[in-house]
Amino acid sequence: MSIYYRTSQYLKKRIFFFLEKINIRSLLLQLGIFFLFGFFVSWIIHNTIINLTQLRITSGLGFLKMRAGISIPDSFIPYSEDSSYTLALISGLLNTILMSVFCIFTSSILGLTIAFSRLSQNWLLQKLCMIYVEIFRNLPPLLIILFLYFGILQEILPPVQKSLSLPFHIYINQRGIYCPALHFQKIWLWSSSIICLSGFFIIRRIKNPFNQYILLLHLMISLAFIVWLFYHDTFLELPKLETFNITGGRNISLEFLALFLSLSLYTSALISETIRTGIEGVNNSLKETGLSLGLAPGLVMRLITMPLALRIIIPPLTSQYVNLIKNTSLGIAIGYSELMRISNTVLNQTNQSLAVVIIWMGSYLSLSLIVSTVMNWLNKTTLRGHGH
Amino acid sequence: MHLKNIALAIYLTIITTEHVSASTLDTVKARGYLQCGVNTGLIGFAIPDKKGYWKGFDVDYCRAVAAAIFSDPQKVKFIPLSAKERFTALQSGEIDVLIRNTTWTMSPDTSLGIEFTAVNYFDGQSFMINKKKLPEIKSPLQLSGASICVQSGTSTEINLADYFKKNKINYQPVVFEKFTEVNAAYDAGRCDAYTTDQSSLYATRLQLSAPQENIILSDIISKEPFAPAVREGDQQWTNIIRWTHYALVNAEEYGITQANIKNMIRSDNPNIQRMLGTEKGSHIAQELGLDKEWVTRIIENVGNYGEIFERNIGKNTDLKISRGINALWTHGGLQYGIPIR
Repeated sequence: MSIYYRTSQYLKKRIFFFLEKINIRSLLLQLGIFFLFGFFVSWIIHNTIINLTQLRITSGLGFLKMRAGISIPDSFIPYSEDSSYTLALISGLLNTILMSVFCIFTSSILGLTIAFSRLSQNWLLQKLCMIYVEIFRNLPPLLIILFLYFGILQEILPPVQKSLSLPFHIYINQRGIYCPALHFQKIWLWSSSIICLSGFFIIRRIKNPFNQYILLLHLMISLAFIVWLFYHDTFLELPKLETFNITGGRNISLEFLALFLSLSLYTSALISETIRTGIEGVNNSLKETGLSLGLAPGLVMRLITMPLALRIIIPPLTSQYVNLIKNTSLGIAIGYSELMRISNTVLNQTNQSLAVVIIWMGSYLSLSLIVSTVMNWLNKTTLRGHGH
Repeated sequence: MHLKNIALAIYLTIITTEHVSASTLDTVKARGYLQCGVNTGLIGFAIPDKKGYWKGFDVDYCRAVAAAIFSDPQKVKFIPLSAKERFTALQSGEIDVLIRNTTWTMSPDTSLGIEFTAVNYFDGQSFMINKKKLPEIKSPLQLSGASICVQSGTSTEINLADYFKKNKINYQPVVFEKFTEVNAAYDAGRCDAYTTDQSSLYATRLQLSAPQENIILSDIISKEPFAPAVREGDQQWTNIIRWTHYALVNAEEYGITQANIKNMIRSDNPNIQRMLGTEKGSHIAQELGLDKEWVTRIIENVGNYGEIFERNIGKNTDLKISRGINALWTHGGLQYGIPIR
């Protein structure tokens, strides 16, 4: 009689012997937790409905179709007072995304530059960047935003009537930047972007660098030709000074500028530290191996240090990006029309706090999840690309 | 962010299972003080002074209610609320009554489970401009293309949009969440005009760097009747708040003041006797859940409607607001005391 047989006999004698099998036990446990959680959620929903009825509060999502009646400055989709609350919220969400994209782009480039400057041999550059990082990293972002908006931009920029006039009809004043706007037909935009994209992919396939340049030249010439071809549809609108404001052209509001600058400065300080840690985290002996093989320092950085550093950098970088997205909500303090400000107004006009707060949380959650997913994918490709 | 109250209200709607059905009056009496929702800081209406003592038109209304219930006008806890939080705080029971320059409109009255009582101040939305920078502007219709500073989230923002749409004029809104930021931006020259309720404009002007340079346009673009609000479903409590207001107005009509109340108690005018509880066999106050001397106590402690007005926002204050449409109906205004009988 084997030990196994005896053990199983022994188990059979016990009533709840199946509970001692690990996979069944874990399945039961999970089922239990699932039902408990389901019960908890349904209890909350049930309770909320009862409470709302008892408090005589009308709830639901019906308000989303109503006319909003509020005006939104800085909306870059067609929105008017007659649009619905849905469109108002979408407009706010798009402004949040726009701000996030601009800030992620700028702060990444700035952060990378600063990280490399801090690692350079130049003592002055190194110290200056250290001061920069220590200042911006240690201030609360809201303080930077308010200081930049009320303390600096509104104080140093001239009033409308004395606008700073730059070349190419660009004006700067207390209310923002005004520049000429190019109006063209949409088809022009689409066709040129398709040509550019296809050109890009063709270039990538051509190995000979000389041929690449030739093709690039061809592309540019054909682009110029298309511009000329559609010239009669395209016109330039110049900004001009009127009684109260500069009108016409494109306007970048002071609120956008202040939020963009302060968030970029703040996040770039954090990102530069992330990148520096990543680069310094790569084992020195690997770099030395590269150098002893006769590789130039630039090549060592590109071929050895960076690929290894990226694996350390990307996970914390993801949370910096997610933080940045959430920080755009601070725009409410200076009146930038991002999601937080718009939903606040919607909440106030409709008093549907429950519904609006859920929409609002859902939006930030999905934005953050999208960024995390993209960054995780990037992380995986980086790992795979180097044989891991 | 003043999200605390909203979070609290949502938490209460989701989690609470028991509903206290005791009357608000009993709850307030048992607690020993009134919880009154007021503005976070509006000169003349509700603002704490340097010692933290609350003063203002709305504050005196809270004190009047406390005087009616407790015979002590100081038995009030003032809860400062932003425009966004005010209704939620009332719904969730954090306050007993909302007296916070809040406009009575149909939608909150019918859909939020709250009830407005009586209009204690008739206001309207207007514009403030810097007359040094813009000497030729006399009417908001001349503000075509102007940048206009506005606080988000009240009826102000919609009135502004409606007015400019109706008159087919373009404008550029500059929207902030808090008064302090709107003030700072307007002061710095970010906008050409500042719009909000006229009473608030008078208060705001005092906080600017050069108040005398700014004028408030006389054009009114909206109706803003301010009224105290209570939770729906407790008629006795609604009545107490409503009749406190009418008692104040009636007292002014009959010339009962803080100074002469002692003599007025001995008046032989039946209307005054009925109000001050000296009429024989009258049980008006009992039906309200209060005792006979409730009006006497109110007037003793805070004075009549006119006195509250003049003390906080009238001609001799910094705000210098004239009675205008808030004068008694006998003087061509809209304040009309519903008879206490």
